[in-house]
Amino acid sequence: MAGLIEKDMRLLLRRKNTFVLFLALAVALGLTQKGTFILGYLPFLGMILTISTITYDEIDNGYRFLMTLPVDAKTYVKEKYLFCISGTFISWILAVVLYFISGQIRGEKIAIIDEIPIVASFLPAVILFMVIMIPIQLKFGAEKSRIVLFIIFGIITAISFLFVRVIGTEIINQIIVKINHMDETGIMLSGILFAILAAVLSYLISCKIMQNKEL
Amino acid sequence: MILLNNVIKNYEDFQLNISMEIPNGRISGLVGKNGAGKSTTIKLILGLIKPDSGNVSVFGTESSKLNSKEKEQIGVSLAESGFSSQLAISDIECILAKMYSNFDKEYFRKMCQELMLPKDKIIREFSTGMKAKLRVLVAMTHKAKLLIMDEPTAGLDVEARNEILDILRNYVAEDDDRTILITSHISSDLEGLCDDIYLIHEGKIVIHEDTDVILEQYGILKVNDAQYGNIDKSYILKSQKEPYGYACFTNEKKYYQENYPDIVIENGGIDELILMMTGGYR
Repeated sequence: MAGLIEKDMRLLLRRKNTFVLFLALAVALGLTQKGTFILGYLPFLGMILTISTITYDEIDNGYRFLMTLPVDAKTYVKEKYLFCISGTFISWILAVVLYFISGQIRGEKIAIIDEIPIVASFLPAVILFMVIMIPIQLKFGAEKSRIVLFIIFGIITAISFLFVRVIGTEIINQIIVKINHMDETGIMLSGILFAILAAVLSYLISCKIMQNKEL
Repeated sequence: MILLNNVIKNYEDFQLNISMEIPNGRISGLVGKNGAGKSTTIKLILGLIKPDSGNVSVFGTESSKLNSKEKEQIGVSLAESGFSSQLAISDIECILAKMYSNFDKEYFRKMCQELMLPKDKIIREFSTGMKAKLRVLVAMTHKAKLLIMDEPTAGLDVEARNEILDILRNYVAEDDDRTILITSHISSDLEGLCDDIYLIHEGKIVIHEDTDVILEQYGILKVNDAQYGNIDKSYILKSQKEPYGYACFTNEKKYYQENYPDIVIENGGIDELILMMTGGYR
């Protein structure tokens, strides 16, 4: 596991120019943009960067060689989730810091306690996206996974559209009103719980994918 | 050390059906044409693919269930597969140090210098020879008991090939208990290195013989039609029609030298073994 983390860290550091550029852009955007843009942008960037290590592993039959090292499929998957979630979490922390600093600079009065539910809701949202992406990328590879993701989100959109058509906009509006009246902390905690459950399910699926992969 | 017992692996247009046993301290060569099943055999031994039937074991453990401690005892060099080409040797050194408890940093650095492998250049910028040397070096720097080398010398010039073969010879000379399984297209590489040779053809092992026996006892009889009709064919493994008559491959060259002094007999090497037994001799 330690060797795999070392490999992924070094793969990221080899792209330090891109890394620095994205970070500079994040700081600039964080300090200049109003609102919560940075809270979504930076964790999403962290997720994309850490997931890109899977692409590097895949290129030039890399999986085949990696699986001859003293690691098994399960350890590989465990490390990948740990690495990607950690990377996303660190970039989210950075985004939160930038968000509050930019508020201070603009002289906005930010009540940190009140902001926690909004700020915290970005992390499970990005993690949810990440845990959908990892098994798809492991199964289909970097190239095909883009098409698969496109199809999946297309299906989700189509189902949502049909759902709205079937039950009617009136009921949907009632549901939205109910959600708006729900406790923010409750929504945040439900989101975190949902992301954790999705991550566990995604991890188990990824383990099966890697164990059944013919290299 | 390595045991493949009645292993069958089916693909859409190919079936591998082999049994092999490689004991401790042996350097075994696996030869055959492209697509004969060499790489599939290597993948089965490494647990990268699972057999449809039969057993594959390494150190007595089913290959797909090798744990990390057992995998630390194996060094692998695969054709066209290795660490990401975005990494440099300085990165790989740190990764291997974390990956293997027996990683020998001093040896790794010394060999990089000897093989003139630059420490800070990324692998993508390496020449074919440098990449091949690095793949072999990575397999050998953690004192593995078993080396599995898939085409380690493919695409290299004579000098680079000899360097790699010397490294392998020295590796075995350090410890008699070390075992190597190597595949190669280049017969001269194997003739000077291997204790025994497995010839694989269309997914089956067609010959398993000690290298010395192949070099000393195997040969090709070149006979005309009349001679072909008269010779004892008990020790003829395969015959092939030629413009002058027949080329007959034998594993008892001396028998024919003693009993048929008029016949032209050429020495048999691994190249001749491959060509005659797989039907491509010219």
